[in-house]
Amino acid sequence: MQIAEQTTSAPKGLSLRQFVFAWLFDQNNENNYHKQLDKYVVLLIIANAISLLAEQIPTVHDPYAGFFKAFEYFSLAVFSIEYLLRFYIAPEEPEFRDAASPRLKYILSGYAIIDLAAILPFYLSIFGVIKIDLSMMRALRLLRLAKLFRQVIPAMQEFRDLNRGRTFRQQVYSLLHPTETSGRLQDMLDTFVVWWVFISVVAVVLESVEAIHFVLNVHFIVLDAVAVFIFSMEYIFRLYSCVEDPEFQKGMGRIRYAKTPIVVIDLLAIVPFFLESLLHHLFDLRFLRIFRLMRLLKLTRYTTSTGTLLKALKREWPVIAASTFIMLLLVVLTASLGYLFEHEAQPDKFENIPQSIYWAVVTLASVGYGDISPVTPVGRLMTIIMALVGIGIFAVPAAVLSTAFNDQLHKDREVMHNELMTFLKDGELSEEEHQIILKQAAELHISVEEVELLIERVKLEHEESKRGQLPMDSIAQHPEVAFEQFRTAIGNLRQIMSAGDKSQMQRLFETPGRATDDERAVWRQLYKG
Amino acid sequence: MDQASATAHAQETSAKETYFTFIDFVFVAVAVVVGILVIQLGAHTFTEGMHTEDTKANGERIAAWIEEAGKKREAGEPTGISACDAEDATWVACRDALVVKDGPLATLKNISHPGGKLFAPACDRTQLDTLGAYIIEKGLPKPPDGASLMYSAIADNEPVKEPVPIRVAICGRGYSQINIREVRF
Repeated sequence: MQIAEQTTSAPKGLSLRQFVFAWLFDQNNENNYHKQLDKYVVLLIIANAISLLAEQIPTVHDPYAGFFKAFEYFSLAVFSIEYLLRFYIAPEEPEFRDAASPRLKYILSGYAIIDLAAILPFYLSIFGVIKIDLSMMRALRLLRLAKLFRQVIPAMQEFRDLNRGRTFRQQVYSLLHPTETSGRLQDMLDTFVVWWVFISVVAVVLESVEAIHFVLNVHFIVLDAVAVFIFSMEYIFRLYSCVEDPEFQKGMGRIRYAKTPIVVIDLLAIVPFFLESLLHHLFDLRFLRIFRLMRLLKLTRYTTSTGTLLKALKREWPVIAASTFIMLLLVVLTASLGYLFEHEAQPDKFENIPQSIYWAVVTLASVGYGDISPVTPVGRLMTIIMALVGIGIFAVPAAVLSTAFNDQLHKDREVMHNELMTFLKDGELSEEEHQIILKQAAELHISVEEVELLIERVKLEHEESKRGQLPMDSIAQHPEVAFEQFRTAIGNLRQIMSAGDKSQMQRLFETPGRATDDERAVWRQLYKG
Repeated sequence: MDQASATAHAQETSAKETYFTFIDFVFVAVAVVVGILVIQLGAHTFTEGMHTEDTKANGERIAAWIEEAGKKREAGEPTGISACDAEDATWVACRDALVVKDGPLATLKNISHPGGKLFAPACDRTQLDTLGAYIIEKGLPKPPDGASLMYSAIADNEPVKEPVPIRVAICGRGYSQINIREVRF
């Protein structure tokens, strides 16, 4: 809403072309819709790639052929509109504005050629100008992926500018970790890896369905090889560049880094592929496939939730350990009583105490499978009591953990609040500071609306605190205000005197060179008073 | 620190450092080697996957023939293969007759392991030549209800007389059995 207001409140008298440019395409305007447009176009390109992949599979494509066709026409329409709009606003684009014929220059630009190549063959085919067979048409649709260059190339340029004069290793580090010189390219790389994590995990899950695996065997092989290639490169280059991190600069930094949990996860995400490929004819290594699900844990790098949970666990560990101990006591006690009361009646089910532990845990945790249950009256009475106690005791760790997690989130938010206060010391929140706060907020799972409210609140707090300190020129212009300020200052001095040690202060004031004559005179006057 | 000063600071701190050192070269070389290894292994696995796909297609051909022949048998017609139609026909004789020079499945071969077995009773890691082999199993009612079937290997000398449920499978990559189809012969 805010964006819309700002855009529509642009200088009056804009032509339609200028308005469309300002509204959708102006890269220098942070308040328009160009970022959203780019985002949705990228999503549509990715959806096209997925659709293209799905169309290769007859069992997926054939029942939904109509849907695939409709999606293809929809994509074609969106890309065509985008192309036409860019053609229309070319005279407004700074890149083409100064050319004799901006639109011609646009048509001949690299991006425009890619955009046209992504749609033209289909129009030529639809109107019968050329005949293109289905497989060729699908191959041509791959060209749409090239539209991503419109996002990637500027990001690469930005990365190059930010890292000019830096070493190769520093650049690799910036590319793989969020730093001041990372820019948008690092975000893109993160998104790319996260997408591949999702794709490979979905593939592992679907592979376990025999009917799907039977049909998509080769597709899964290709997907896995591509995923392993990406994750292997990421692993090696993270290991290579980690020494740029001050934490791993000294000693055996790379080995220490390789031993960190998240990097071990990175390794476990790729090892099954190598073991299975090299040793499958010697051992049955199909069980290793399930370890590929470890890739999901790679996502912990991109979210602070796991870190927050671990911090909460660490902080509340003594309480959790204590309640776990009580739980264990209760389990052993319940199992022993169960054995005592039920063994004679059901020797096959309550054969011994270790076997009764299963029943005790299932009962105390309120799972109650029902495969083992007490039949004697005393056993049933004991079960009622123990189950009621169990509900309370088993809930303790969960409650402690939940409260600790919440507290930790609040603490993290407090840190962000303090940072916001620091940024607002000068009374202004620059665009860069705003972006930093938004990024932190995203990590803390705070919505943009909440952040904006918080910024407003902190601004008000800042204004409130500033009100007590009027600027000197403002005081000088208003004698009444100056008079009141003077009185307030005297009052503050009296407060300081009454709070401090007067004899010590007297000694300090009388020490030569510690205070001016005027200050000493004021002190003496107030001291007498 | 704004972006421009961050860049300036970063450039200043790295001004005296070498852009690309020997260690950098080693790591890049390792990355290239690992990349090539992944591509090689991926290509090899892909080739094996394609072999499995071809073997599955052949398995489907076997299943189609058995199904067609089963329908003929049910209608009291001969299958057209004398080794299968004879009074004293055995499974091994009938099966082998399918793949002889003029048989209906003459082009059938072990694609994954060219020197390996064409037919095998089961996937067996201890017998490397069972990789890529075709497996034909007989279905028997599964106790206790008998509603579903359990499949097991057919003895070579078992007679081909009574109608019988058949499962066609292949021995895929990693010696894992891939079931193709269940038909009636």
